[in-house]
Amino acid sequence: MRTIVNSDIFELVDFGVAGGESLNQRLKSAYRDLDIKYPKFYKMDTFCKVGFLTMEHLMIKAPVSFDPAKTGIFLVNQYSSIDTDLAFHRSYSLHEESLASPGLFVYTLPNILIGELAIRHKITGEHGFFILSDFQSDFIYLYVKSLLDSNVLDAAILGTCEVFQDEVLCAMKLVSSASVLDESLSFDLSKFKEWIKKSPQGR
Amino acid sequence: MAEENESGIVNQGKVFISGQHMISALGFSIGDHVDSFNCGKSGISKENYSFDSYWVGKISDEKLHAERKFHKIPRAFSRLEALSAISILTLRGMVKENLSLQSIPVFLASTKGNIDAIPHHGAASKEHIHLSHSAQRLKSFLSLQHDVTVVCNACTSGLQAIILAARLIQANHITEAIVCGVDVLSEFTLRGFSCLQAMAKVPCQPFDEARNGISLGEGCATIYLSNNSSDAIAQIVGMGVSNDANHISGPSRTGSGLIQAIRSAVDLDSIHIDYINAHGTATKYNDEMEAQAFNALNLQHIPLNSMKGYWGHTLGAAGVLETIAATIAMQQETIWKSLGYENHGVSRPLAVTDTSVKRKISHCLKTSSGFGGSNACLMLKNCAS
Repeated sequence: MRTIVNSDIFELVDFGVAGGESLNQRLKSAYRDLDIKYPKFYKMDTFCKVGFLTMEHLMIKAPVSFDPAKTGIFLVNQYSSIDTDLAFHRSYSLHEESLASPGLFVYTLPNILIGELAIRHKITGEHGFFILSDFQSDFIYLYVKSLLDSNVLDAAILGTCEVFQDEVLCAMKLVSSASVLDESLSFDLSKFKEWIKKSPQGR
Repeated sequence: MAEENESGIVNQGKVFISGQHMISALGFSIGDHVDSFNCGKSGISKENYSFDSYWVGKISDEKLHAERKFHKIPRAFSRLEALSAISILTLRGMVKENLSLQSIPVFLASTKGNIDAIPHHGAASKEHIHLSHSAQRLKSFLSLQHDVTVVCNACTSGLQAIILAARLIQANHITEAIVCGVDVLSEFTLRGFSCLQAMAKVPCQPFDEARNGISLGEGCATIYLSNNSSDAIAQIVGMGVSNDANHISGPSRTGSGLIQAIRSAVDLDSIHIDYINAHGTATKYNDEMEAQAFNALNLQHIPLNSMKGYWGHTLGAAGVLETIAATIAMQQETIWKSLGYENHGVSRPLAVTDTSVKRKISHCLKTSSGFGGSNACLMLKNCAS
Protein backbone atom coordinates (compact mmCIF):
# COMPACT_ATOMS: atom_id res chain seq x y z
CA MET A 1 0.00 0.00 0.00
CA ARG A 2 1.31 3.42 -0.77
CA THR A 3 0.07 6.94 -0.89
CA ILE A 4 1.39 9.40 -3.33
CA VAL A 5 1.13 13.07 -2.66
CA ASN A 6 1.63 15.29 -5.63
CA SER A 7 1.94 18.95 -4.91
CA ASP A 8 3.09 19.88 -8.34
CA ILE A 9 2.72 17.90 -11.49
CA PHE A 10 6.43 17.11 -11.66
CA GLU A 11 6.99 16.18 -8.08
CA LEU A 12 5.73 13.21 -6.16
CA VAL A 13 6.03 12.64 -2.45
CA ASP A 14 5.85 8.97 -1.73
CA PHE A 15 3.76 7.96 1.25
CA GLY A 16 4.69 4.31 0.91
CA VAL A 17 4.13 2.34 4.08
CA ALA A 18 7.26 0.53 5.15
CA GLY A 19 8.42 -1.69 7.99
CA GLY A 20 5.06 -2.69 9.40
CA GLU A 21 3.90 0.88 9.79
CA SER A 22 0.15 1.26 9.35
CA LEU A 23 -1.33 3.78 6.96
CA ASN A 24 -2.75 5.69 9.89
CA GLN A 25 0.67 5.90 11.56
CA ARG A 26 2.20 7.00 8.28
CA LEU A 27 -0.40 9.75 7.86
CA LYS A 28 0.15 10.93 11.43
CA SER A 29 3.89 11.19 10.95
CA ALA A 30 3.36 13.01 7.66
CA TYR A 31 1.16 15.45 9.53
CA ARG A 32 3.85 15.95 12.19
CA ASP A 33 6.47 16.51 9.48
CA LEU A 34 4.45 19.48 8.26
CA ASP A 35 4.91 21.17 11.64
CA ILE A 36 1.47 22.78 11.72
CA LYS A 37 -1.12 23.03 14.48
CA TYR A 38 -4.50 21.79 13.26
CA PRO A 39 -5.94 19.36 15.82
CA LYS A 40 -9.03 18.80 13.63
CA PHE A 41 -6.77 16.63 11.49
CA TYR A 42 -7.03 13.82 14.05
CA LYS A 43 -10.83 13.79 13.80
CA MET A 44 -10.83 13.28 10.03
CA ASP A 45 -11.36 9.96 8.29
CA THR A 46 -8.51 8.48 6.25
CA PHE A 47 -9.89 9.93 3.01
CA CYS A 48 -9.89 13.49 4.33
CA LYS A 49 -6.49 13.04 6.03
CA VAL A 50 -4.95 12.02 2.71
CA GLY A 51 -6.59 14.92 0.88
CA PHE A 52 -5.72 17.38 3.65
CA LEU A 53 -2.01 16.47 3.56
CA THR A 54 -1.88 16.72 -0.22
CA MET A 55 -3.46 20.16 -0.13
CA GLU A 56 -0.99 21.32 2.56
CA HIS A 57 1.89 20.35 0.27
CA LEU A 58 0.24 22.09 -2.65
CA MET A 59 -0.33 25.26 -0.62
CA ILE A 60 3.33 25.34 0.46
CA LYS A 61 4.40 25.24 -3.19
CA ALA A 62 1.64 27.40 -4.60
CA PRO A 63 -0.11 29.40 -1.90
CA VAL A 64 -3.50 30.70 -2.91
CA SER A 65 -3.30 34.44 -3.20
CA PHE A 66 -6.64 34.75 -4.94
CA ASP A 67 -10.01 36.03 -3.81
CA PRO A 68 -11.36 33.14 -1.68
CA ALA A 69 -14.86 33.63 -3.15
CA LYS A 70 -13.38 33.23 -6.63
CA THR A 71 -11.32 30.14 -5.87
CA GLY A 72 -12.85 26.72 -6.49
CA ILE A 73 -12.08 23.10 -5.63
CA PHE A 74 -12.92 20.28 -8.07
CA LEU A 75 -12.15 16.69 -7.20
CA VAL A 76 -12.86 13.40 -8.95
CA ASN A 77 -12.53 9.72 -8.10
CA GLN A 78 -13.99 6.35 -8.91
CA TYR A 79 -15.02 4.93 -5.53
CA SER A 80 -16.53 7.88 -3.68
CA SER A 81 -16.12 7.64 0.13
CA ILE A 82 -16.24 3.82 0.12
CA ASP A 83 -13.57 3.27 2.82
CA THR A 84 -15.58 5.24 5.39
CA ASP A 85 -18.90 3.93 4.03
CA LEU A 86 -17.71 0.42 4.93
CA ALA A 87 -16.57 1.57 8.38
CA PHE A 88 -19.96 3.20 9.04
CA HIS A 89 -21.75 0.08 7.80
CA ARG A 90 -19.68 -2.03 10.22
CA SER A 91 -20.61 0.33 13.06
CA TYR A 92 -24.26 -0.74 12.89
CA SER A 93 -24.11 -4.21 11.38
CA LEU A 94 -21.30 -6.04 13.12
CA HIS A 95 -23.26 -6.98 16.23
CA GLU A 96 -26.92 -7.18 17.06
CA GLU A 97 -26.63 -4.34 19.59
CA SER A 98 -24.03 -2.20 17.83
CA LEU A 99 -24.88 1.47 17.35
CA ALA A 100 -24.43 3.52 14.21
CA SER A 101 -21.60 6.03 14.63
CA PRO A 102 -22.51 9.67 13.93
CA GLY A 103 -18.81 10.56 13.80
CA LEU A 104 -18.36 8.16 10.88
CA PHE A 105 -21.64 8.97 9.13
CA VAL A 106 -20.72 12.61 8.55
CA TYR A 107 -17.71 11.43 6.56
CA THR A 108 -19.72 9.16 4.23
CA LEU A 109 -19.79 11.73 1.42
CA PRO A 110 -16.74 12.46 -0.72
CA ASN A 111 -17.40 16.22 -0.85
CA ILE A 112 -16.77 16.41 2.91
CA LEU A 113 -13.12 16.57 1.83
CA ILE A 114 -13.91 19.73 -0.14
CA GLY A 115 -15.58 21.08 3.01
CA GLU A 116 -12.48 20.31 5.10
CA LEU A 117 -10.17 21.97 2.55
CA ALA A 118 -12.50 24.98 2.30
CA ILE A 119 -12.49 25.42 6.09
CA ARG A 120 -8.72 25.04 6.38
CA HIS A 121 -7.89 27.43 3.53
CA LYS A 122 -10.99 29.67 3.72
CA ILE A 123 -11.98 28.92 0.13
CA THR A 124 -15.64 29.67 -0.65
CA GLY A 125 -16.04 29.53 -4.44
CA GLU A 126 -17.81 27.15 -6.82
CA HIS A 127 -16.73 23.55 -6.30
CA GLY A 128 -17.78 19.99 -6.92
CA PHE A 129 -17.02 16.32 -6.37
CA PHE A 130 -17.48 14.04 -9.36
CA ILE A 131 -17.40 10.28 -9.75
CA LEU A 132 -16.07 8.98 -13.02
CA SER A 133 -15.87 5.45 -14.33
CA ASP A 134 -12.38 5.76 -15.68
CA PHE A 135 -11.05 9.13 -14.56
CA GLN A 136 -12.03 10.20 -18.01
CA SER A 137 -14.11 13.27 -18.47
CA ASP A 138 -13.54 16.14 -20.77
CA PHE A 139 -16.66 17.65 -19.24
CA ILE A 140 -15.07 18.41 -15.87
CA TYR A 141 -12.07 19.98 -17.55
CA LEU A 142 -14.30 22.06 -19.85
CA TYR A 143 -16.50 23.04 -16.90
CA VAL A 144 -13.54 24.37 -14.91
CA LYS A 145 -12.19 26.06 -18.02
CA SER A 146 -15.53 27.80 -18.62
CA LEU A 147 -15.57 29.03 -14.99
CA LEU A 148 -12.09 30.52 -15.43
CA ASP A 149 -12.84 31.91 -18.91
CA SER A 150 -16.00 33.63 -17.73
CA ASN A 151 -14.32 35.02 -14.59
CA VAL A 152 -16.66 33.20 -12.25
CA LEU A 153 -13.40 31.92 -10.74
CA ASP A 154 -9.87 33.32 -10.72
CA ALA A 155 -8.29 30.04 -9.61
CA ALA A 156 -9.16 26.41 -9.08
CA ILE A 157 -7.69 23.40 -7.35
CA LEU A 158 -8.14 20.29 -9.46
CA GLY A 159 -7.44 16.85 -8.19
CA THR A 160 -8.28 13.31 -7.29
CA CYS A 161 -8.40 11.47 -3.99
CA GLU A 162 -8.99 7.75 -3.67
CA VAL A 163 -8.91 5.44 -0.66
CA PHE A 164 -10.11 1.99 -1.64
CA GLN A 165 -8.73 -1.39 -0.61
CA ASP A 166 -4.98 -1.09 -1.08
CA GLU A 167 -5.21 1.92 -3.34
CA VAL A 168 -4.46 5.18 -1.60
CA LEU A 169 -3.68 8.01 -3.94
CA CYS A 170 -4.18 11.70 -4.10
CA ALA A 171 -2.98 14.41 -6.44
CA MET A 172 -3.85 18.07 -6.73
CA LYS A 173 -2.93 21.03 -8.84
CA LEU A 174 -3.66 24.73 -8.79
CA VAL A 175 -4.74 26.37 -12.04
CA SER A 176 -5.53 30.00 -12.54
CA SER A 177 -6.75 32.29 -15.26
CA ALA A 178 -3.77 34.52 -14.54
CA SER A 179 -1.24 31.85 -15.46
CA VAL A 180 -0.47 30.91 -19.03
CA LEU A 181 -3.76 29.24 -19.67
CA ASP A 182 -3.14 26.57 -22.22
CA GLU A 183 -0.21 24.91 -20.56
CA SER A 184 -1.67 25.16 -17.11
CA LEU A 185 -5.03 23.82 -18.15
CA SER A 186 -3.58 21.01 -20.18
CA PHE A 187 -3.43 19.24 -16.83
CA ASP A 188 -5.78 16.46 -17.67
CA LEU A 189 -7.61 14.50 -15.02
CA SER A 190 -7.59 11.44 -17.23
CA LYS A 191 -3.80 11.39 -17.06
CA PHE A 192 -3.67 10.91 -13.30
CA LYS A 193 -3.39 7.18 -13.20
CA GLU A 194 -1.08 7.13 -16.15
CA TRP A 195 1.52 9.46 -14.72
CA ILE A 196 1.33 7.96 -11.29
CA LYS A 197 2.13 4.62 -12.89
CA LYS A 198 4.98 6.12 -14.89
CA SER A 199 6.66 7.97 -12.07
CA PRO A 200 9.71 6.19 -10.61
CA GLN A 201 8.16 6.25 -7.16
CA GLY A 202 4.75 5.23 -8.45
CA ARG A 203 2.93 1.99 -8.05
CA MET B 1 -27.12 35.42 -30.73
CA ALA B 2 -30.31 33.80 -31.98
CA GLU B 3 -30.33 31.86 -35.19
CA GLU B 4 -33.27 30.02 -36.70
CA ASN B 5 -32.86 26.68 -38.41
CA GLU B 6 -35.11 23.75 -39.26
CA SER B 7 -34.91 22.37 -35.72
CA GLY B 8 -35.84 25.58 -33.92
CA ILE B 9 -34.20 28.66 -32.53
CA VAL B 10 -30.65 28.24 -31.33
CA ASN B 11 -29.48 30.82 -28.83
CA GLN B 12 -25.77 30.59 -28.24
CA GLY B 13 -24.90 31.22 -24.61
CA LYS B 14 -28.46 30.66 -23.37
CA VAL B 15 -29.77 27.63 -21.50
CA PHE B 16 -33.35 26.39 -21.58
CA ILE B 17 -35.21 23.62 -19.78
CA SER B 18 -37.39 22.04 -22.43
CA GLY B 19 -38.32 18.65 -21.08
CA GLN B 20 -38.81 17.16 -17.65
CA HIS B 21 -40.00 14.06 -15.85
CA MET B 22 -40.27 13.15 -12.19
CA ILE B 23 -40.83 10.15 -9.92
CA SER B 24 -41.41 10.37 -6.17
CA ALA B 25 -43.69 9.03 -3.47
CA LEU B 26 -46.42 11.05 -5.24
CA GLY B 27 -46.24 9.12 -8.48
CA PHE B 28 -44.58 8.49 -11.80
CA SER B 29 -45.76 11.46 -13.84
CA ILE B 30 -45.93 15.23 -13.66
CA GLY B 31 -49.74 14.95 -13.65
CA ASP B 32 -49.66 12.74 -10.51
CA HIS B 33 -47.58 15.42 -8.82
CA VAL B 34 -49.73 18.37 -9.83
CA ASP B 35 -52.82 16.54 -8.50
CA SER B 36 -51.16 16.02 -5.13
CA PHE B 37 -49.89 19.61 -4.93
CA ASN B 38 -53.38 20.89 -5.70
CA CYS B 39 -54.94 18.73 -2.95
CA GLY B 40 -52.12 19.43 -0.51
CA LYS B 41 -51.52 15.70 -0.29
CA SER B 42 -48.25 14.39 1.14
CA GLY B 43 -46.53 11.23 -0.05
CA ILE B 44 -44.85 10.78 3.34
CA SER B 45 -46.00 7.70 5.26
CA LYS B 46 -44.82 5.61 8.18
CA GLU B 47 -42.73 2.62 7.13
CA ASN B 48 -41.61 -0.20 9.37
CA TYR B 49 -38.09 -1.52 8.92
CA SER B 50 -36.46 -4.37 10.79
CA PHE B 51 -34.35 -1.85 12.72
CA ASP B 52 -36.95 0.89 13.38
CA SER B 53 -39.89 2.74 11.84
CA TYR B 54 -39.69 6.12 10.12
CA TRP B 55 -41.81 8.66 8.25
CA VAL B 56 -40.51 8.51 4.69
CA GLY B 57 -41.47 9.39 1.14
CA LYS B 58 -41.36 5.96 -0.48
CA ILE B 59 -41.88 5.25 -4.19
CA SER B 60 -44.58 2.63 -4.83
CA ASP B 61 -43.02 -0.82 -5.38
CA GLU B 62 -46.00 -1.94 -7.46
CA LYS B 63 -45.82 0.98 -9.84
CA LEU B 64 -42.08 0.62 -10.13
CA HIS B 65 -42.51 -3.05 -10.99
CA ALA B 66 -44.97 -2.19 -13.75
CA GLU B 67 -42.70 0.51 -15.15
CA ARG B 68 -39.72 -1.86 -15.11
CA LYS B 69 -41.70 -4.31 -17.22
CA PHE B 70 -42.95 -1.64 -19.59
CA HIS B 71 -39.48 -0.25 -20.26
CA LYS B 72 -37.83 -3.71 -20.29
CA ILE B 73 -35.35 -2.78 -17.58
CA PRO B 74 -32.81 -5.58 -17.03
CA ARG B 75 -33.46 -7.68 -13.93
CA ALA B 76 -29.97 -7.04 -12.62
CA PHE B 77 -30.64 -3.29 -12.42
CA SER B 78 -30.91 -1.97 -8.87
CA ARG B 79 -33.84 0.19 -7.77
CA LEU B 80 -31.70 3.29 -8.34
CA GLU B 81 -30.57 2.23 -11.80
CA ALA B 82 -34.10 1.19 -12.81
CA LEU B 83 -35.58 4.52 -11.70
CA SER B 84 -32.91 6.46 -13.60
CA ALA B 85 -33.40 4.45 -16.77
CA ILE B 86 -37.21 4.69 -16.58
CA SER B 87 -37.08 8.44 -16.04
CA ILE B 88 -34.60 9.08 -18.86
CA LEU B 89 -36.54 6.88 -21.30
CA THR B 90 -39.85 8.53 -20.37
CA LEU B 91 -38.30 11.96 -20.82
CA ARG B 92 -37.02 10.97 -24.24
CA GLY B 93 -40.53 10.04 -25.30
CA MET B 94 -41.86 13.37 -24.08
CA VAL B 95 -39.41 15.69 -25.80
CA LYS B 96 -40.48 16.69 -29.28
CA GLU B 97 -39.32 14.50 -32.17
CA ASN B 98 -37.95 11.87 -29.81
CA LEU B 99 -34.46 12.69 -28.65
CA SER B 100 -31.69 10.60 -30.01
CA LEU B 101 -29.97 9.67 -26.76
CA GLN B 102 -26.69 8.43 -28.18
CA SER B 103 -24.84 11.68 -28.51
CA ILE B 104 -26.33 13.57 -25.55
CA PRO B 105 -24.13 14.04 -22.47
CA VAL B 106 -25.87 12.61 -19.39
CA PHE B 107 -25.14 13.90 -15.88
CA LEU B 108 -26.29 11.90 -12.89
CA ALA B 109 -26.66 13.39 -9.41
CA SER B 110 -26.70 10.98 -6.49
CA THR B 111 -25.31 10.89 -2.97
CA LYS B 112 -25.21 7.21 -2.07
CA GLY B 113 -26.11 5.11 -5.12
CA ASN B 114 -26.70 1.44 -4.25
CA ILE B 115 -25.15 1.77 -0.80
CA ASP B 116 -27.31 -0.95 0.79
CA ALA B 117 -25.62 -3.46 -1.51
CA ILE B 118 -22.74 -3.60 0.99
CA PRO B 119 -22.94 -7.22 2.09
CA HIS B 120 -23.22 -8.01 5.77
CA HIS B 121 -19.87 -8.80 7.36
CA GLY B 122 -18.32 -8.50 3.93
CA ALA B 123 -15.16 -6.64 3.04
CA ALA B 124 -17.18 -5.51 0.05
CA SER B 125 -15.37 -5.33 -3.17
CA LYS B 126 -18.73 -5.91 -4.85
CA GLU B 127 -18.72 -3.73 -7.90
CA HIS B 128 -22.34 -2.77 -7.95
CA ILE B 129 -22.08 -0.70 -4.77
CA HIS B 130 -20.26 2.00 -6.68
CA LEU B 131 -21.91 4.92 -8.45
CA SER B 132 -19.28 4.59 -11.17
CA HIS B 133 -20.67 1.12 -11.84
CA SER B 134 -24.26 2.40 -12.02
CA ALA B 135 -23.05 5.08 -14.43
CA GLN B 136 -21.49 2.43 -16.68
CA ARG B 137 -24.63 0.30 -16.60
CA LEU B 138 -26.80 3.24 -17.64
CA LYS B 139 -24.37 4.15 -20.38
CA SER B 140 -24.51 0.70 -21.91
CA PHE B 141 -28.27 0.16 -21.43
CA LEU B 142 -29.11 3.51 -23.03
CA SER B 143 -26.36 3.10 -25.69
CA LEU B 144 -24.79 6.42 -24.79
CA GLN B 145 -21.69 7.62 -26.54
CA HIS B 146 -20.26 9.55 -23.57
CA ASP B 147 -19.54 8.28 -20.08
CA VAL B 148 -22.15 9.32 -17.55
CA THR B 149 -20.60 11.91 -15.21
CA VAL B 150 -21.79 11.56 -11.61
CA VAL B 151 -22.07 14.61 -9.37
CA CYS B 152 -21.69 13.47 -5.76
CA ASN B 153 -21.85 16.58 -3.64
CA ALA B 154 -24.34 15.82 -0.85
CA CYS B 155 -27.74 17.55 -0.94
CA THR B 156 -26.67 20.14 -3.52
CA SER B 157 -25.76 17.39 -6.05
CA GLY B 158 -28.97 17.89 -8.06
CA LEU B 159 -28.61 21.63 -8.52
CA GLN B 160 -24.86 21.30 -9.08
CA ALA B 161 -25.44 18.75 -11.86
CA ILE B 162 -27.84 21.18 -13.55
CA ILE B 163 -25.29 23.98 -13.12
CA LEU B 164 -22.44 21.84 -14.52
CA ALA B 165 -24.50 21.05 -17.64
CA ALA B 166 -25.79 24.61 -17.95
CA ARG B 167 -22.31 26.13 -17.76
CA LEU B 168 -21.10 23.77 -20.49
CA ILE B 169 -24.03 24.79 -22.70
CA GLN B 170 -23.51 28.47 -21.88
CA ALA B 171 -19.85 28.22 -22.93
CA ASN B 172 -20.94 26.41 -26.09
CA HIS B 173 -18.93 23.28 -25.26
CA ILE B 174 -22.13 21.25 -25.65
CA THR B 175 -25.55 22.17 -27.06
CA GLU B 176 -27.82 19.88 -25.02
CA ALA B 177 -27.72 17.65 -21.95
CA ILE B 178 -29.79 15.34 -19.79
CA VAL B 179 -29.54 15.76 -16.02
CA CYS B 180 -30.95 13.04 -13.79
CA GLY B 181 -31.05 13.29 -9.99
CA VAL B 182 -31.72 10.10 -8.05
CA ASP B 183 -31.48 8.63 -4.56
CA VAL B 184 -33.34 5.76 -2.92
CA LEU B 185 -34.23 5.00 0.68
CA SER B 186 -31.58 2.86 2.32
CA GLU B 187 -30.87 1.41 5.74
CA PHE B 188 -27.52 3.19 5.50
CA THR B 189 -28.94 6.71 5.24
CA LEU B 190 -31.91 6.05 7.54
CA ARG B 191 -29.54 4.83 10.26
CA GLY B 192 -27.13 7.64 9.50
CA PHE B 193 -29.56 10.54 9.85
CA SER B 194 -31.15 8.74 12.76
CA CYS B 195 -27.85 8.55 14.68
CA LEU B 196 -27.38 12.26 14.03
CA GLN B 197 -30.80 12.77 15.72
CA ALA B 198 -31.91 14.45 12.51
CA MET B 199 -35.02 12.37 11.73
CA ALA B 200 -38.44 13.82 12.51
CA LYS B 201 -40.91 11.89 14.68
CA VAL B 202 -43.77 13.11 12.45
CA PRO B 203 -43.86 14.08 8.73
CA CYS B 204 -41.37 16.93 8.33
CA GLN B 205 -42.50 20.51 9.02
CA PRO B 206 -40.23 22.97 7.19
CA PHE B 207 -40.01 26.44 8.79
CA ASP B 208 -42.55 25.48 11.46
CA GLU B 209 -42.11 26.13 15.15
CA ALA B 210 -42.52 22.42 15.97
CA ARG B 211 -40.11 21.15 13.29
CA ASN B 212 -37.73 18.54 14.62
CA GLY B 213 -35.93 17.08 11.65
CA ILE B 214 -36.13 15.64 8.17
CA SER B 215 -38.27 12.94 6.59
CA LEU B 216 -36.13 11.06 4.11
CA GLY B 217 -37.59 10.39 0.71
CA GLU B 218 -36.65 8.74 -2.54
CA GLY B 219 -36.98 10.31 -5.91
CA CYS B 220 -35.76 10.43 -9.48
CA ALA B 221 -36.11 13.47 -11.68
CA THR B 222 -34.78 14.19 -15.15
CA ILE B 223 -34.55 17.37 -17.17
CA TYR B 224 -33.53 18.09 -20.73
CA LEU B 225 -31.42 21.21 -21.21
CA SER B 226 -30.52 22.84 -24.50
CA ASN B 227 -29.62 26.11 -26.18
CA ASN B 228 -32.71 25.80 -28.34
CA SER B 229 -35.62 27.95 -27.21
CA SER B 230 -38.40 26.14 -29.04
CA ASP B 231 -40.63 24.29 -26.56
CA ALA B 232 -38.74 25.90 -23.68
CA ILE B 233 -40.47 25.74 -20.30
CA ALA B 234 -38.00 27.92 -18.45
CA GLN B 235 -34.68 29.62 -19.03
CA ILE B 236 -31.80 29.39 -16.59
CA VAL B 237 -30.74 33.02 -16.26
CA GLY B 238 -28.47 32.74 -13.23
CA MET B 239 -26.59 30.14 -11.21
CA GLY B 240 -24.27 30.10 -8.26
CA VAL B 241 -22.36 27.63 -6.09
CA SER B 242 -20.50 28.44 -2.90
CA ASN B 243 -18.96 26.85 0.16
CA ASP B 244 -19.54 28.06 3.74
CA ALA B 245 -15.96 27.14 4.74
CA ASN B 246 -17.40 26.88 8.23
CA HIS B 247 -18.45 23.37 9.29
CA ILE B 248 -18.59 19.97 7.55
CA SER B 249 -22.07 18.94 8.73
CA GLY B 250 -23.75 22.09 10.04
CA PRO B 251 -24.80 25.14 8.03
CA SER B 252 -23.25 28.53 8.64
CA ARG B 253 -25.25 30.40 11.31
CA THR B 254 -25.26 33.61 9.31
CA GLY B 255 -26.14 32.04 5.96
CA SER B 256 -23.00 33.62 4.48
CA GLY B 257 -22.47 30.83 1.94
CA LEU B 258 -26.05 30.90 0.68
CA ILE B 259 -25.88 34.70 0.45
CA GLN B 260 -22.72 34.42 -1.65
CA ALA B 261 -24.30 31.82 -3.96
CA ILE B 262 -27.42 33.94 -4.52
CA ARG B 263 -25.40 37.11 -5.08
CA SER B 264 -23.24 35.39 -7.66
CA ALA B 265 -26.34 34.10 -9.48
CA VAL B 266 -28.59 37.13 -9.50
CA ASP B 267 -28.29 40.89 -9.70
CA LEU B 268 -31.00 41.59 -7.13
CA ASP B 269 -31.22 45.24 -8.18
CA SER B 270 -32.31 44.38 -11.69
CA ILE B 271 -34.38 41.20 -11.25
CA HIS B 272 -37.54 40.96 -9.20
CA ILE B 273 -37.96 37.48 -7.77
CA ASP B 274 -41.61 36.38 -7.58
CA TYR B 275 -41.14 33.07 -5.80
CA ILE B 276 -38.47 31.26 -3.79
CA ASN B 277 -38.46 27.47 -3.88
CA ALA B 278 -36.29 26.96 -0.78
CA HIS B 279 -34.32 23.99 0.52
CA GLY B 280 -36.34 23.83 3.77
CA THR B 281 -35.30 20.46 5.21
CA ALA B 282 -37.09 21.06 8.54
CA THR B 283 -33.99 20.73 10.69
CA LYS B 284 -33.63 23.51 13.25
CA TYR B 285 -30.36 24.77 11.86
CA ASN B 286 -31.00 24.57 8.12
CA ASP B 287 -34.27 26.48 8.12
CA GLU B 288 -32.89 29.10 10.49
CA MET B 289 -29.84 29.56 8.25
CA GLU B 290 -32.07 30.11 5.22
CA ALA B 291 -34.14 32.69 7.12
CA GLN B 292 -30.93 34.56 8.00
CA ALA B 293 -29.73 34.54 4.39
CA PHE B 294 -33.04 35.62 2.80
CA ASN B 295 -33.37 38.44 5.34
CA ALA B 296 -29.81 39.63 4.76
CA LEU B 297 -30.72 39.94 1.06
CA ASN B 298 -34.06 41.60 1.84
CA LEU B 299 -36.01 38.72 0.26
CA GLN B 300 -38.17 38.02 3.32
CA HIS B 301 -41.34 39.35 1.66
CA ILE B 302 -41.16 37.06 -1.36
CA PRO B 303 -43.52 34.06 -1.26
CA LEU B 304 -41.50 31.00 -0.33
CA ASN B 305 -42.15 27.31 0.14
CA SER B 306 -40.33 24.06 0.71
CA MET B 307 -41.50 20.99 -1.22
CA LYS B 308 -40.02 18.56 1.35
CA GLY B 309 -43.42 18.15 3.05
CA TYR B 310 -44.71 16.51 -0.16
CA TRP B 311 -42.00 13.93 -0.81
CA GLY B 312 -39.43 14.19 1.96
CA HIS B 313 -35.75 14.98 1.56
CA THR B 314 -34.66 13.12 -1.55
CA LEU B 315 -30.96 14.05 -1.11
CA GLY B 316 -29.19 13.88 -4.50
CA ALA B 317 -32.50 14.04 -6.38
CA ALA B 318 -33.84 17.03 -4.44
CA GLY B 319 -32.33 19.79 -6.58
CA VAL B 320 -33.65 18.35 -9.85
CA LEU B 321 -37.03 17.29 -8.42
CA GLU B 322 -37.60 20.72 -6.87
CA THR B 323 -36.40 22.63 -9.93
CA ILE B 324 -39.11 20.79 -11.87
CA ALA B 325 -41.64 21.66 -9.14
CA ALA B 326 -40.61 25.31 -9.53
CA THR B 327 -41.11 25.29 -13.30
CA ILE B 328 -44.53 23.62 -12.90
CA ALA B 329 -45.43 26.35 -10.39
CA MET B 330 -44.58 28.89 -13.11
CA GLN B 331 -46.66 27.06 -15.70
CA GLN B 332 -49.64 26.62 -13.37
CA GLU B 333 -49.24 30.11 -11.90
CA THR B 334 -49.51 28.61 -8.43
CA ILE B 335 -47.28 28.73 -5.39
CA TRP B 336 -48.35 25.68 -3.46
CA LYS B 337 -48.81 25.50 0.26
CA SER B 338 -45.58 24.77 2.11
CA LEU B 339 -46.83 21.47 3.52
CA GLY B 340 -46.22 21.02 7.26
CA TYR B 341 -46.04 24.75 7.97
CA GLU B 342 -48.48 26.24 10.45
CA ASN B 343 -46.73 28.36 13.06
CA HIS B 344 -43.75 30.46 12.07
CA GLY B 345 -40.70 28.84 13.59
CA VAL B 346 -37.60 30.73 12.44
CA SER B 347 -36.27 33.82 14.20
CA ARG B 348 -36.60 36.13 11.17
CA PRO B 349 -39.67 36.90 9.02
CA LEU B 350 -40.29 34.87 5.86
CA ALA B 351 -43.33 34.78 3.56
CA VAL B 352 -43.86 31.01 3.85
CA THR B 353 -47.06 30.06 1.99
CA ASP B 354 -49.47 28.51 4.52
CA THR B 355 -52.03 28.13 1.77
CA SER B 356 -51.66 27.75 -2.00
CA VAL B 357 -51.76 31.05 -3.88
CA LYS B 358 -52.42 31.86 -7.52
CA ARG B 359 -50.00 34.33 -9.04
CA LYS B 360 -48.01 34.98 -12.20
CA ILE B 361 -44.39 33.99 -11.71
CA SER B 362 -41.84 35.52 -14.01
CA HIS B 363 -38.72 34.71 -11.97
CA CYS B 364 -38.17 31.94 -9.45
CA LEU B 365 -35.14 31.38 -7.22
CA LYS B 366 -34.36 27.73 -6.39
CA THR B 367 -31.85 27.08 -3.59
CA SER B 368 -30.16 24.07 -1.97
CA SER B 369 -27.65 23.63 0.82
CA GLY B 370 -25.91 20.54 2.13
CA PHE B 371 -23.25 18.71 4.10
CA GLY B 372 -19.73 19.76 3.28
CA GLY B 373 -20.84 23.41 3.47
CA SER B 374 -22.21 23.51 -0.08
CA ASN B 375 -24.81 25.96 -1.32
CA ALA B 376 -26.23 26.17 -4.83
CA CYS B 377 -28.94 28.17 -6.51
CA LEU B 378 -30.63 28.65 -9.86
CA MET B 379 -32.47 31.68 -11.18
CA LEU B 380 -35.28 30.51 -13.44
CA LYS B 381 -37.21 32.67 -15.90
CA ASN B 382 -40.65 31.70 -17.11
CA CYS B 383 -40.57 31.23 -20.89
CA ALA B 384 -44.33 31.77 -21.18
CA SER B 385 -44.22 35.24 -19.62
